[in-house]
Amino acid sequence: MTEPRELPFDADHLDRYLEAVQARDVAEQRRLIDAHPDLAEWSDCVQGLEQLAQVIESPLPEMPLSESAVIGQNFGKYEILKELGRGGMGIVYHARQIDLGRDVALKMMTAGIYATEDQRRRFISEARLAARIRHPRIISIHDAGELHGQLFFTMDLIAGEDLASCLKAGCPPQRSAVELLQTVALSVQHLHEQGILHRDLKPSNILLDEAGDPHLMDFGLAHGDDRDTAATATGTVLGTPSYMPPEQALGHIRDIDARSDVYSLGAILYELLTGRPPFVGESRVGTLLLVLEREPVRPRLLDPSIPRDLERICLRCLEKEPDRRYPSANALAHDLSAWLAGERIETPEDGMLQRLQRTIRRYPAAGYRCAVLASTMFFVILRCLFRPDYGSYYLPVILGLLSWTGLSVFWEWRGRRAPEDRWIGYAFALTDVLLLTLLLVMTENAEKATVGAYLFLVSVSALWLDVTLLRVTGLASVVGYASLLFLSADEVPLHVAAIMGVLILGTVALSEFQVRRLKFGQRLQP
Amino acid sequence: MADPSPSQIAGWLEQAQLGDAAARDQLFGACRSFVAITARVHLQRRLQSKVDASDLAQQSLLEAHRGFERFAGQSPQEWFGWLKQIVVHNAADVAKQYRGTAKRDAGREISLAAESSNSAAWDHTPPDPGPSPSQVVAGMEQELLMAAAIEQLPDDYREVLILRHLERLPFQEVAERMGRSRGACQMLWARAMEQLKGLMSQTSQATREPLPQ
Repeated sequence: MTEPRELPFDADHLDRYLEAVQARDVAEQRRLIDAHPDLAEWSDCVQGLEQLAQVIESPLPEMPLSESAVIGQNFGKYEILKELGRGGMGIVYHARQIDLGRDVALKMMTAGIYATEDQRRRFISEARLAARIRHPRIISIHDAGELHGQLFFTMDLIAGEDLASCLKAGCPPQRSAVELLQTVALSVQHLHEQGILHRDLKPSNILLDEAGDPHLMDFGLAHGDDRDTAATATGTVLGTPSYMPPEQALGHIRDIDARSDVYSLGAILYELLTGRPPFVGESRVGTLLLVLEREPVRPRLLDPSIPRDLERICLRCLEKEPDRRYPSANALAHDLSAWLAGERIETPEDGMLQRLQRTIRRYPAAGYRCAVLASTMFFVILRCLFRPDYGSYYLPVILGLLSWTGLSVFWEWRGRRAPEDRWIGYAFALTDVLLLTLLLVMTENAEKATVGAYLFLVSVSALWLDVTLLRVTGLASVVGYASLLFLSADEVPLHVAAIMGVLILGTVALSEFQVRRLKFGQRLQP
Repeated sequence: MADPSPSQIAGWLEQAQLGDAAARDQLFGACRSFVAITARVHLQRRLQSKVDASDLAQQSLLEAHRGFERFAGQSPQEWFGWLKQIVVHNAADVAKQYRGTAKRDAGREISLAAESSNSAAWDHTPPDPGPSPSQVVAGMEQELLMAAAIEQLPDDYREVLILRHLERLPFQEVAERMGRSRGACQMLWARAMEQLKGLMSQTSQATREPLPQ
């Protein structure tokens, strides 16, 4: 407020008047104008701006299709009877085709006449793709067109429920689940043979008719060989992350092929068997991170009655690497029918390396610790082999490393039993700092490069994405390093100790910055 | 050309829908600044200060022009709703692309505090429901003139008016958004108001002049 004021009028009065206008306080407006008559000449301007603000802000006029008002209305040769469901861009109605006297499902765009060019293009491409398909287990299109500026198409009307609502009531018996998925896999194979990828396979897109037979629907994200760039560019951010393969989650459009649909089929099988999708995070980004980095919990751990072979089929579909999945939906259907017939399935047992990789992805906290500790032990043992006379010196070190490994595995095991507990991260962090300090004291390493391990511990604790935990680990590291200096026989110059302290705190600050950034990114995502 | 009267937009709209190309050009000419201001406000809201609002406005107008046959509404109310819908959709698209390609920069520009206080401003419900959308649209000619006047102002004048009036932010937040001191913003605002008043009185005196094209 220190700036010089050289205005020909009193801006404070005008400001107060503007506040009264924005608050819609008419009495205050009148009072101000009476008290300061020169405000009157401003009122047109202020009121005009306020009106413009209201026009820009006013809700869009009601769209005929977002209202239930269409129910009971005639729409061309169709009479709309009731709403069946809403998707990302369309509303599906139960309608009667008056001339033929049959019931159909009629899909219209949610945006109605306000739809943009891009939305219309996607809607039309969905109808075109779906019209190419004639298959008893895929919903087919009868009619498509435009009426009063409103695009629509009509499809088979299936009396029944979608698989997602059926799953809410509970899992089907294992055999029926496998039969169901086998049928769906064969329908997907048919799509692939027509050159169409579905890209959004999930339980809510599978309709079960009264006989319990599945029908595939919703091609809103699908696209054919004629790659429409506009539609695919937006397609990457759509889709349901819980059933989405990593390559689609990353938006690698070029890498999406038939095996991406195989992944989604595997995710559906997983849910049919265990009652939950393979990955469920706290947020959309949380789920995406799980899809990219983690191994799904083994189905047999959730339900021991699930046969080993079925688990193997399911996990093969869910492989991160497309090359490791079934090469086609047909191959998956083939393995499922082999299982149904009690024959040997094609999928081999996991190899050593694959099992190790899975274990680390499944238990990352303990997995990576074991890997680092094991390599440390390897170098220590190597040293002992070259200098056997040092054996007695290194024996306690190896014991220390072994108990560190043992404790990590123990915490991981405890954490599995109560995954929602937050203390497990603290347990890991404090164990790490304590054992590291102990080992460094034992080996009199206070002034050597190995103290850099504290920085490593701080970075590792950032992976829990918890700022408090990160700070606690940083504090514990500083305390650990201080006690190391205190207990160690060597004299460490003060400036070296100070630099080390700064490095630890700097690592905390930097990691905290990254954690906050990532969390902010999560908030930005819808 | 006649004075802008309350039925002007409705008349052009009807003629244009019957295939009168001249009426259609007049309709679009009259709505140009409205689309421009709406684009600016929506980009502000999405904190996309780096995107050029006139590009967005241009693209939206082009789309409306190309898709004019598909506009099936009749009233000016539906017409402005349709225009707004196109702008809002395009703004969302731009924001999505922008977030995808320049995540780092966007992150640097938006602070958590700015976002939350901003959303709080939107939750604010005025004590009185105000005019209904149809009342608002009935006198649209005045708002179109106002939009045209704002478009003629220098960039920083326009920005301060958009933030203070159309976004209804208090000066403290206007100052934060513009990266200036509060006092400097109030000063800027006072000058902007003065120039706007001048422009508006010019237009109301020259009632014989056509709407700005």
